[in-house]
Amino acid sequence: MAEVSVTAAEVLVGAGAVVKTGTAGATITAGDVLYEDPVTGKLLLAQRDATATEAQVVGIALGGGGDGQKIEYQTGGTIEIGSSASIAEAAVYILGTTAGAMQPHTDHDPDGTKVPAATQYTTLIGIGNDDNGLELCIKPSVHQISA
Amino acid sequence: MADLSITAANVEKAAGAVTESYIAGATVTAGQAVYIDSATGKAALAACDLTAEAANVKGIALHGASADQPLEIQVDGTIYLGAGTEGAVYVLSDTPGGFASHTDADDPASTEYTAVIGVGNDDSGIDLCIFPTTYQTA
Repeated sequence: MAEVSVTAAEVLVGAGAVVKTGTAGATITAGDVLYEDPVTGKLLLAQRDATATEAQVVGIALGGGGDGQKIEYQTGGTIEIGSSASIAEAAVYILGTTAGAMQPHTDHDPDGTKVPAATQYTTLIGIGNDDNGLELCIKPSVHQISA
Repeated sequence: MADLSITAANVEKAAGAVTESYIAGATVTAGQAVYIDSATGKAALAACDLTAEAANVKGIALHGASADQPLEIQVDGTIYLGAGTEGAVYVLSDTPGGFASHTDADDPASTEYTAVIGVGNDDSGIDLCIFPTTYQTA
């Protein structure tokens, strides 16, 4: 399943948004999925196919910034991703394999490959709503589908 | 995807368990997903294909109870079920009290509500992330 293509300018807080502020550890764009580097405390781009640490999602970036700049990110509530992203209502979204990306959950690709694949971490992001956004239910895990 | 088959005697709360106590509104078995009936305040079996209220899953029963008996449910943390697949995403199913491994963006079917239960762990249980919604697939 393809990862969500986010247009940064369309990312907005929605109802019940829970927002935190952190410091970017690299270039971050609105809509990127983030984790916190336990060593530096800075925000970096999360992905499910690297280390368990990188799959420990803390939220979605609400703005852009470079290394050392402040970043607001949303950890709960509704986030508007925008009409360009084609968010599917009621679909379950998980962390992607591209740094900072997310994708609709499916348990296998068309070629039969399990999703997430073995050695990848299943991290929930949220559920698509009926207004081009997500209801965030961020749940990082260290668990992997067996091969 | 078939419902997770749970043996009631295997159900136990585990690390970080958060529990709440209610009164059962019907017969409930350990391991079943329940919602709270807004009219009675009692716990009833949740399902994704009935009403939005019935899909508003609250937690997983930790023991059996008959109607009007006390019922402890787990709403967060890790629950041991004696079943489950590590890394799988579990959602509420259309069997009252049941939940199943999520398959794709068309699951649950249209007219059914997507309610996440949690992610399977490596110890025959689920790390709960109970998140009901009123959204339905197109």
